[in-house]
Amino acid sequence: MSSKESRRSAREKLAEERRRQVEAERRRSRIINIAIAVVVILAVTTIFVLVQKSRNSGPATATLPKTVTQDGGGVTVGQDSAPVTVDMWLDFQCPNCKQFETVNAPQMAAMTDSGQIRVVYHPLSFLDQHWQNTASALAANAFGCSADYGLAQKYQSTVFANQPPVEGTGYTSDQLIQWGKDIGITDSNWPSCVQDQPYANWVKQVESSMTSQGVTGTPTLFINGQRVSPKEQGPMMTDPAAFKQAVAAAASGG
Amino acid sequence: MTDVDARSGPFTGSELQKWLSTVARVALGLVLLAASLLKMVDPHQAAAAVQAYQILPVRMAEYVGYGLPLIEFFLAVALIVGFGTRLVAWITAGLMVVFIIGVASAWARGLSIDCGCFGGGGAVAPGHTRYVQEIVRDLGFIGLAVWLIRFPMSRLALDRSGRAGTGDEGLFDEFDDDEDDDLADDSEEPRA
Repeated sequence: MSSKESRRSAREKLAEERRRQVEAERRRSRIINIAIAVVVILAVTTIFVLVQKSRNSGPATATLPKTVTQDGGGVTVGQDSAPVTVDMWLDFQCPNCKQFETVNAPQMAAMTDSGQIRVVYHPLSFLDQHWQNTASALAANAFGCSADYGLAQKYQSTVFANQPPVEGTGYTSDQLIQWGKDIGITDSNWPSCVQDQPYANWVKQVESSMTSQGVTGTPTLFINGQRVSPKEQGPMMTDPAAFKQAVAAAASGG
Repeated sequence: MTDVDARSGPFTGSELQKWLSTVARVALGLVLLAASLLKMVDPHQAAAAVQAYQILPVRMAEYVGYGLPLIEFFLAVALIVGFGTRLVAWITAGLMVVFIIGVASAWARGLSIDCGCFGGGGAVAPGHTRYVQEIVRDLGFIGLAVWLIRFPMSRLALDRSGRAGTGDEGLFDEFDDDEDDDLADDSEEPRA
């Protein structure tokens, strides 16, 4: 090997080495860029998710109807000593809720009176968006008003009994006021409670609370905290014995 | 590699193809932007829409509902400005596949829900579902994304491969085909 050749090969090696260094440097700065981008995106996403979650907790303060014990909680009917608690999520514009009510409201009232069950009614208003009206929220507020007179259970079954046959028709304040009078609310404040919607914020809180419970449709039932599956709920829509059985099972199960 | 190969690679193409890619990029970007903003305004609805699919655990679905619109927003902005087009097109296509699986699964399980793709979502009356339209629409978006994966080079883009002769490093070059580094310059200014 001549000295000329060896010098050239040394030069080439040096150049090769430099190329490699530049390449490695480029690669490193790319990886750093990508890492920074990933960290920034993760941080922004986390903050964003938390902000959205807080936006979904509904109004911070609300006037609560009687028997509602916490923000966004349901209206409770029945005795505290009842062994079985039924949580019912409903929307006053929902035809399946009417169907459920038609089949089960009489026995639910009887079981509540006899101390077998206590029922927590969560009146939702998501169908307002679907039908582009405000009837569900209006009815939910009126339902809250009826709780102040201790007539919530009776009032909600009356509203469902009068649900318009064409879905999306909605309710008027006058109708909701009249149905209260029909079940014996004689107080002079009743009409203004329905019209002025003092419980509007509570209605929004209840609507927000469905997300944390994973309630996506109505009617949805929880018996002693256990969600009633669609499969279990199917028979309840037509056969009163199905609900009765589920309550009995929950009572004996602890 | 020869020039013939270069011209048929993903980072080459005619002026017409580049403008078509620009149209595809901006169209897909605007679709995602609309989907994102419509969901961002109502986090409650967004969370409920994901829960309505009854696929993810309740709590996880809630957070996906909050976070997904932001991811769509990032993808939308990247597409509109033409940043990392190829990678973003891959992610978008993957997202659309996930959406189609979700809708098809809801359909197969007999759920009656709205996809919530552009806000809204949740239960609808039986017989008011629009699963076919929703899936066809998403397939259309996949078509746009696939075009961008095949022809990521476009005009009016931040991507190096979309700009003539600047030689800037794109953040996501790492993910591009190897051909990119070798051929992008050739494609812009073919050597004699």
